[in-house]
Amino acid sequence: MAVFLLVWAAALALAYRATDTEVQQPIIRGLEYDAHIILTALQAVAAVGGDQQFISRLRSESPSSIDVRVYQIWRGENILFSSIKDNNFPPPKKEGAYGFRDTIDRTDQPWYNHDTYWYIYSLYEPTLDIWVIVAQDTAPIQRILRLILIRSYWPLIIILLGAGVLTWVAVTFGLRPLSILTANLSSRGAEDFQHIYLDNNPRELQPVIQSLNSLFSRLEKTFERERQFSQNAAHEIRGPLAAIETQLYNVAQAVKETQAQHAVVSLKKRVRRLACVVDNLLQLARLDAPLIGGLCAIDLNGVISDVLADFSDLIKERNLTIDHSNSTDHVLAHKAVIVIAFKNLIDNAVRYSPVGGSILIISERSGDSVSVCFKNAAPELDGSDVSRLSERFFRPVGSTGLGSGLGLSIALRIAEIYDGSVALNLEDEQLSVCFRIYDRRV
Amino acid sequence: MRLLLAEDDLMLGESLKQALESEGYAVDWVKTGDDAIQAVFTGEFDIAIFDWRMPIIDGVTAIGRLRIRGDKMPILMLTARDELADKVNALDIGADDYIVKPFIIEELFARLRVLYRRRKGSASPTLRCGQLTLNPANKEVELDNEKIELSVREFTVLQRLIECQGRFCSKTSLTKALYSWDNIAASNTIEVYIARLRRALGADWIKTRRGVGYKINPL
Repeated sequence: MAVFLLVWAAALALAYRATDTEVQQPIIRGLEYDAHIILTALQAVAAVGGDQQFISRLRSESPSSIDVRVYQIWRGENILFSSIKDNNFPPPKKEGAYGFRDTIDRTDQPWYNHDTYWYIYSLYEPTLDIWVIVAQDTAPIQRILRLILIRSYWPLIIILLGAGVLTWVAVTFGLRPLSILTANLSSRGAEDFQHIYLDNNPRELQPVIQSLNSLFSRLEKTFERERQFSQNAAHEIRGPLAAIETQLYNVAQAVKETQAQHAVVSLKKRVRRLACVVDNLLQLARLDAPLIGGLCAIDLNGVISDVLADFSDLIKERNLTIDHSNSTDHVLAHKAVIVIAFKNLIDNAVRYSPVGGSILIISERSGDSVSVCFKNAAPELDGSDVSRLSERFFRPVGSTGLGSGLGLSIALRIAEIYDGSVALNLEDEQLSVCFRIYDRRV
Repeated sequence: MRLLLAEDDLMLGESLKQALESEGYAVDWVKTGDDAIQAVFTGEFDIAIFDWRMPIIDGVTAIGRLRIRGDKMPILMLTARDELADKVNALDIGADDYIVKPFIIEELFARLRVLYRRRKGSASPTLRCGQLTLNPANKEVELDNEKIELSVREFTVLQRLIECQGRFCSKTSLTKALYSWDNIAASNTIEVYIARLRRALGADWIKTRRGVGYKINPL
């Protein structure tokens, strides 16, 4: 449509220009002819000494002036005759500049008429020092041309505009199913493999929708296979781990030597750690799957209190002080998942705080997001390690606990499920871990 | 105590049998759910551990069938499945407890003691008979607040006698509590353990009735 309009506008401009040129030629020839006639007449009467009388008669007997064509006779700087009172066209100042010239008179014309052209033909007679100037106002011609063009083209303009509107309406309605499909696809989560069903099931989109649904089915199967693989792998590892732990118990019962006992204890710790890694890997694999149902209003601080109770023995053993405000703040989330997040965060805080230290737990709501921050001393944590703490399997140098290096990764993954984040900050040997999620009620 | 272990994993089954026997259990080990059901029907077991994944019939299905037939033996489910839905399913089908692999063996022992205690109708973790106190958790025996050292099997026999308090406990039931199918007791083994207990506690603590059995007699 734009190309068509451009071509049409170009054709219109060319037609206008061609017509204008065609109309100009006779006028220009007419001006030249009139100027020569007048000069010839002047030369003839001047030869018999009658030029002054000729001019006087011109002045007195010339018919009423018409604005369209102007006749003027100049001698030097003086105008001897003009067929019109206003609008003098002085002779050219440049020597030898006879002939046709045009001028655009813009100064006192309104803006819509500022393209008034006067075609001016100037002819000089050197013996008499006479300038004969004949000028034609092209404004009326321009107006006629424009009128012709407008009357020729306005129906086409109306038709084109109407066609444009109809086309726009048709395309808009025609593309509506595509817009609905686009909105449907845009609003999907990364693990949403539900088939697409549109109202009225537009025929033109059926092949696309069928292909997309088939793709979703294949993706879902692949995703499920990968998830099952992770789960099956974890299950397959758990059995042998249980056997190893049980056998270590039997060995511990059988051996009496202290060194052997120490070896058994050390092996048990490693097996426990491996078991922890397997559990955490399984958790991560499960968090990759979509959480279906189970959303409820959860009191975050209540969950924290419950989790702290589970760690009460370890807290007592390490002589830690817990400062936790008991204010209530509810979010809409999956309780089991939030419990996992806080278990990992509290586990880290409790295990990595120095003995006798304190842990500060602060929860805060900001608009539609809630954050829970865990602050504890971390004198042995290097600043360069802080940004890596949420990397999977990363454990700072010197870590000796049973952790798998996946706790923060799990908390981070859970925060991401609720469009949130986990922010880490180390300042003055105090580590702050802030878990933020967005309340789905809002 | 007589325990039925239903576990198809050879390595785990073997190590678990050994650990349970060291704890004083007489363990019979089967490797399929079908064998587990048949074993329970013999009526010889006090408690059972069932794995979930087993050939022929899985553990949960086996428990379901036993419960439908009215069997009330305590069964602890031992499995790598840790999802809530699995736990709820197993417990609703009829398992009495659920423990996830890998487990801490001491926790397994504690859960077995709880199940056994409840089966006997007792809420207390210790057994009392007059001035005699038995703690199954740490295998400690006290008489008039004085500790008495007993072997695992002696402890098991004494525990069984106290559980039979007020009535005679047959030699057969004592033998079954001590020995699994693949351990054949000598004909006078129980008499040997009874003699040892009499030496430790006092001769009058255990009464014998020929052809019937033995009875604890608190002084």
